[in-house]
Order: sequence, then structure tokens, then C-alpha cells
Amino acid sequence: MRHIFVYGSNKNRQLLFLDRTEIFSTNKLIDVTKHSKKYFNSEQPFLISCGSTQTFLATKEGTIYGYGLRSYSNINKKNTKKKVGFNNLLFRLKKFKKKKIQQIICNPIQAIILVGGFLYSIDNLNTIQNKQQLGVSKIELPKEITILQVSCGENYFVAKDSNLQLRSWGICSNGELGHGTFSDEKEFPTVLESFKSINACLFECGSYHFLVLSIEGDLFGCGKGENGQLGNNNSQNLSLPKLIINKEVISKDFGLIIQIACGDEHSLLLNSKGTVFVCGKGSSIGRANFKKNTTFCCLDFSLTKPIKTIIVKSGYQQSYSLFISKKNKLYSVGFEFQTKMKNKPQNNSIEIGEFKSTSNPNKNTGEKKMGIEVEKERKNKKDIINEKEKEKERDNFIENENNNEIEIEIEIEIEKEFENDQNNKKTKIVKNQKQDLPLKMKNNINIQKIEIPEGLVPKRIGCGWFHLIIICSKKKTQNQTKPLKKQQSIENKIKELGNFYTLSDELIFKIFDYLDERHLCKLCITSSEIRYFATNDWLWKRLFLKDFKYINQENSQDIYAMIKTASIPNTGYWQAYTSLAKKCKNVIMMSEKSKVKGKEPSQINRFFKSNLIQKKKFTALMVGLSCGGKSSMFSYWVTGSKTAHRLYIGFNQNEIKVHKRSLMITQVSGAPRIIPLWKHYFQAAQGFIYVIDSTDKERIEESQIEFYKCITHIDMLEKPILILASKQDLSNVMTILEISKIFNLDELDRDWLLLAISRFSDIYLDGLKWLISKMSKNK
Amino acid sequence: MTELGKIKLVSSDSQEFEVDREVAAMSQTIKNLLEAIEDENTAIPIENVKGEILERVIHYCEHHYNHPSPKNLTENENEYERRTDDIEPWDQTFCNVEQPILFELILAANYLDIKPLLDVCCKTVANLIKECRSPEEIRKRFKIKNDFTKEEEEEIRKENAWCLDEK
Repeated sequence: MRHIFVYGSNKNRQLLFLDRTEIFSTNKLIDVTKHSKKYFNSEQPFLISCGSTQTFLATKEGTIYGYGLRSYSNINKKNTKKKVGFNNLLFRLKKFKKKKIQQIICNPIQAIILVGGFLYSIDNLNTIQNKQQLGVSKIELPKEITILQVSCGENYFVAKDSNLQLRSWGICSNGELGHGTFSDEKEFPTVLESFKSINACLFECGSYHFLVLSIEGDLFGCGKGENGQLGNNNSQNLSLPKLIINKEVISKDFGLIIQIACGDEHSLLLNSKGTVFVCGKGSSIGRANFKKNTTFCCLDFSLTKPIKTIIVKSGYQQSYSLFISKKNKLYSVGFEFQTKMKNKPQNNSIEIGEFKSTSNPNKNTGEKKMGIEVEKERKNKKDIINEKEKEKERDNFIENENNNEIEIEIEIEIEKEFENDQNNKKTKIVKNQKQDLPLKMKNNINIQKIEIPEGLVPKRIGCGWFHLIIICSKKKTQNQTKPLKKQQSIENKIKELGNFYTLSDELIFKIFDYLDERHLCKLCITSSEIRYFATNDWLWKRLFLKDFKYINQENSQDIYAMIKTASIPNTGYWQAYTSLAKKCKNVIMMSEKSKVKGKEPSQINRFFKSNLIQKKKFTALMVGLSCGGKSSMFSYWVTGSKTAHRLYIGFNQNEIKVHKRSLMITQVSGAPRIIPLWKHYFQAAQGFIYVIDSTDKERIEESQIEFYKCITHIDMLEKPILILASKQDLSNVMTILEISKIFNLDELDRDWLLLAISRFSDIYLDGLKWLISKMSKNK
Repeated sequence: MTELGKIKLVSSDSQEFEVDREVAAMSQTIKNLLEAIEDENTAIPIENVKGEILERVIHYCEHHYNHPSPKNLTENENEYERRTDDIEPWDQTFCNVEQPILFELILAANYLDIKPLLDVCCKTVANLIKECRSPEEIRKRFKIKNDFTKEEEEEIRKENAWCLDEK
């Protein structure tokens, strides 16, 4: 059972069943439900669309009713007045009987009906003559193309076809057809060529502009941008759809957009959380200062009152938005106050709650009334000033009210149309209404709550220029339990699936982040979806860095290559971790037995610590004959001090940092007594550094003999050799070439490097780096 | 009218709760909302949280407002370490609820942006997972439907064998 409320002007008989002679206009909601039974023959009103001064209503059974402007009346004269016996009804179409009408929309020239993917138009006979089939014609479309959704502006239409491409037709003057020219006319739905590569997800037409959200999540706009309604930070018109906000910004700043709405001079976005973002003409978006917004900004009140649906209608020189909140309350924002004022306000303020509508003057003495002449031709400055004064007064009034802390003033916009004897003036009355709920939020947004009787939920709303029709369904207790049951069954299903499904990805990761590798592996086995989470790098990177902290990019390039080139995205660390862990599986299994319950350091970690310390901290043995400059160099390497080193005989061990890696160098004296002891250090060393005194020509032979003794020792085979020719800064020294010859290095089949070096040069770093690279290779 | 310094919270099933402003401000979400709303007496709708859960959350906030927990000294021990055995006794009792409620608490804490509560709840869930000795136990406990075929499961088991407890 649907309840129907009507509101506003009935000048053109657009208020469904209300007789114009009885109710010419109303500024309160009138319940016309009881009439509907009679006139709809128990069919259920389902869709509603209001144009400028007409109303179209479709029932679930597929009948379309038209009310309002006379110019449609030729369509089905016979059927209407006599049979229905009600002079508001223009026509009743049974053409679509038993078919589901998907959409019905209308603008001043046409009404478009979307049925089963095909479009039908009902033309305003004032503009197009000689239509057949009761004025209803099918709009031609290419074969195999059906329409999914359609939207209309003032003189044009945009539709989304089954290929997710946009088609537009109609007349444009601001580029809103999107075909590249500002002034254009298309008779049939034509694909937007420039937009062909982009698939539309959501779109909506305003009077002279439209916005599209692509499937990828980018927002595009086209058409009139005078008041910033395109949201692209300027006020230019666009004749082709252009990118306005890219998907990154949208997902970051706006979230998931579920609805786009466009009015005359403003645009709105609604995200999944119920927050509304607006841009465009100041008055339309409820900014009391009339300042236009050229970028989307948050409509504050929607933060506390999440919005379910937005309904926008571009009115005559004004546009406003209606919001249905998630709690099924109805709010409206934004009215055009800058239209010209002609007359003094009419004394027509009527208190809501009074039933008899039009004839109730001045019930609320404290209220301000505003009469606004909407007629276009009669602009003059005086009136605007007048208007602004009014505005100020009203604001003051509101402030006073607030100060009194009694009730908070909210304006409710009530449009009213008068057909005065003089000049057919249309007068709009703004009426103040007292409410319990404070709705005046920051930025002086004018928000009005439209009261609908308790227990009713607004389902469909049609708004025209001067009238409003609301179809409500009853919030029956039975109805309530039904959806609850449904919800419960869904909840049960979720429970069956597992509780993790109720959580967002982020939260699942947060929980899994507390687990270590063994629990994650167990989780991997439970189900494919859980496996997705449990193998994600977001978790494994931490474990990897924790347990394999001795592996870095330099010493294990292969592992890092593995991480980067993981076959499944975001599982590189997991794969690296498992492959490393499998290698030390046996170790784990052994230590598993000695596992202590509770907090135990990871076995893998322990294993790798012990193994990798040696791997990482290489040791090199540095020897050479005495007085070769070893100790001086060594002390410079370690401390960086250039003070002359005294003769030092003995043994020295220190760690040297070379490009983030450290090398443990054991330096052993070359005194004749010590030389035989060198061999005891061979085993522990992975690299060999031999220092040759470049000045000491006398002992070069001796040095060569010792050198070969060392490198041919069984513990020294396969180990890289770094030969340093020291004291190269002095004069009369042997060159590297000479030394190389004497040492016969050319024929040495080993990894070796000969470096010319002086005491305080930093060239040793290159040598050590080479040595480390060779040593890690050998490992 | 609400008392001075108190605000009213309304749960999704329209239950009303009066809470100290300061206590409610432990939720970052509510704190932000309070800053946005000028009027003190506005009832704040907490759309995503059921009354039963909201009551628990408020209980948590009140307790921790009155008993601020000492700063966790072990927190920065190691940036890669995650401990789950450091839940305070009061919190342990608090989280000792049926699983669905625990999950709803997580959702509520996330929505209301109460970090300590979220942490504690997540740790509790992590501990529940840790208590499970086998994948089957996890499945049973968290009602996870096994959607692997036998072959797939065999393979995945092999793949993860290195980490599984010996039976």
C-alpha cells in the first residue's frame, strides 16, 4: 500500500487528483492516498517523474498516467475526461501492460519511458506535431543495442547502452550533448565518439551539464560550467566530456561514490557512507553567502545524517536538492533567492499542520514571508537589494531565535503558485517553520526537514518546478520483521562462512599481523580466501625482516630477485620466506622438540642468527713482511687517524665497515718469529690480504716466497687474495707492473687483485669490497 | 536535555546512551563529530553499532578513562615483533566474550576509531587463532568453509609442511 502526498502548485493540474478549482496550490503536504485507490484501479503507483508543470506516474502493472500541462492533452483525449471522469488526467496509457517499466523521466519537451531496454517518447504536442500511436513513439536504436539507463536535462537526453557507452540526443546550447560543438542537435541517440573508450558506471544529467563516473572510477563532466557545477575548479563550458577528478583523488577524498546528482546549477556526489559532496551555484547548494563552489566539498549535515538517496530537480531558474536519509527522513537544501522580487510578500504564510491549505493567512505572526517573483523579464536591481535585505532580516531573526534557546528556526521552502488576476504572476513563498531538531549546521547551510507522517518511508519522489509528489510506503511492523528476517538469514550465512567475512580486509590483516609464520601457514590451509590474506606480503614482509634480518639486498640478490618477481602479486616475501625456511627445516624440527610453550623466539631466527653471523661477518687475514706499513694502514682503516704508527709487532684484530658490510680483519705481524704462526689463522679466514713493501727491493724475493707458501697452504686454497703494494706515495718504488712480474701473478690461477696503495689513501675500500664480493661468492 | 558535559549517543537500533563528553572523545570519530557539531544537546547517531555493542564499548571507554593504562614500556622492543600476551587482565576479561560479539566489537572499535580497544580485540582474536593446533581447528572455530579440492589441499599442505606441528 503506497501513500501519496502532493505539494505545491496545481495550476496546471499537475497534482494528480486534486481539482484545480478546489485546491489551486498547497504549501503543505496533502495526503491523496484515498483518491489513489479509486483512480488507479488498485494498481500500485511505482515510478513518478515530474517535469516543469506535468506529472507522469507509472504503476507496477505497466500503466502510465499523465497529469498537468494541457499541451499533452491531445494525446488521449477520449480516454481521459469522460472515462475517468476526472479532469486532471491527460491520458492513460496501457501500452506497456504487464511489462516492467524501468524508468520514466521527463523534461519540458518530452517524456521518455524505458521499458525492456527500449526507449519510448511521449512528446509535448506543442513542440512536435503529428505523432502516431497516441503520441507515443519508439525511439530508434541500432540493432542489438538496448538501453540500461536514461537521464534527461532541459532539452537533451543521455542514455547508457548495453555496451556501457553513452549516447546523447536532443538540443544543446552549452555543449551538453558532448559531441564537440557547443550548439548541436541530434535526433537519435548518438554515441559520444570521444568517450568511446570509457565505460560509464554512473551518470546523471543536470539542466545543461552532465557528469559521468567511469567504471575505473574517474569522474568526467561535460556541458555548462558557468557556476562551477562541473566541479573542475573553473567556470568554463565543455563541449566534450573531460576528466574532472581522477580515480586516485576520488577514492582518497570521496570514497566509494554510489550516486551522482545534477541540478540546474549544481552537482552532488553521494558516497557509500552517506556523505554528500556538492559544487555549483551557492544558493543551490545551500550556502547562505551565495558563493559558488567550483570544486566538490562536503555537505556538512550529511556527516551526522547519512544520506541514502539524493533527488534533484532543476526548477525554473532555481534548483534544489532533496535528500532521503538512511533513517528515511526527508531533507531539502538549496533555494534560489536571487530571483527578482516583484511584489511585496503575500500574506500567505500557512502553518504546517493545518489542513486547509490555501485560505489560511498569517497564522504564525513571527514568521517572515517572502514572495519572490520568478518571472524572467522583470529583473531590476531594486528588487535584488530588497531581496538581500530580506535575507538579512531573516538571518537576524534566526539568530534571535537561537539566542532564545527555545526552538531553532528552520526554514522550509514551500513553493506556491498563484494565478492572480494580474499578469499570471508566479509567486514563491518561503515559509519559516519551527522544528524540534536543530539542523542549522556550520556554514549556514539552509537545510529544511520535510515532515512526512510517522511510520511512512518515502520511496519515490517526483519534483517539478512548482510541485512535489511523494510516494511513501508504510513502515508496517510486519514489513519490518520481514526485512529483519532477511537480514538475519544473511547474517547467518555470514556466520556459516566464518566470522572473518564480516571484517574488512584491513582488519583481517591487523589480526593476522599478530601471528607468526606457523599460524599463518595453518591459516593458509583453511580456505582459499583466508589463504589470500595469510600469504600477503603485508604480513610476511615483517616476518621476513624479523627472522632473516641478516639477509639484505647485497648479500642475497637471488632472494630479493625472488621477492620482486613473485608469480602472484604481493606474495614475494612469503615465497622468499618459505623457501628460506624450508632450507632450515631440519633445524627447526630438531629444535621443535625442545620448544617451550609460550613466548619463544623463532627457531628459524635462532638458526639463521648463528649461521648468518659468520656468513655475514667475513674474516680476512692480513699479513706481510715486517715494516711493510701494514700496521699504519690498518690503524688508519680502523680509526681514520693519520698519526704515524709506531713499530708494532704482534697481533691485531678489528672490524672494518665497508659499504654497510663489515669485514673482520686479523692482522698478524710479519716478524720472522711470527711468520710460522700465520698458518694457524688460515682456516678461520675467508680472504687473504698480503701486503708488499714497494720500497723494499732487498726483501722482495723473501716476500714472494712467503706469499706462495701462504696461498698454497691447504687451508688457503680457493680463497681470494688481495695484494697491496704499499708505500706507493714514496719515491723510488717498484711499480705494480714490476711487482706483478716478480710475483709472477699473471700465471696465478686464483682470484687475486693487486692494488697500489699508500698509507692514508682510501683506495683500500675498493680492495676490501672486491674481497668481500669474492668471499660471499665462495660461500 | 542532557546533563552538562554529557552527550547522548544513539545506536543503530535507537538505544540511547548518555556518556561523559570526555569519555566519548576517546573515540576519534566521535571527537571529530563533536567538533563539527555546535549544539551540545544533539544526540549523536552511531549508525553502524548495535546498542548491545555500543554499551560494551562505552563500558570499556569508561573503565580506561578512569584507569588509564601505564605506558607500554615493551612497545618499541622490536619493530617487527608483535606480542599478544601483554593484554591487561581487565581487558582479558572484557574480551572474554562470544566470538560474534568480539568481531562486532572489532568493527565498532574500527568505526569509532578507538585504537586501544581495536588492538586488544585483534590481539584476542590472534590468540584464539594461536590456540588452534591445526587448520581443521581453525576452520571449526572460525566457521571457515573449506573450498579447496582434495588435491589442492594436499598440495597446499605439502607447501606448508615445514611449518606444521607434527601430529
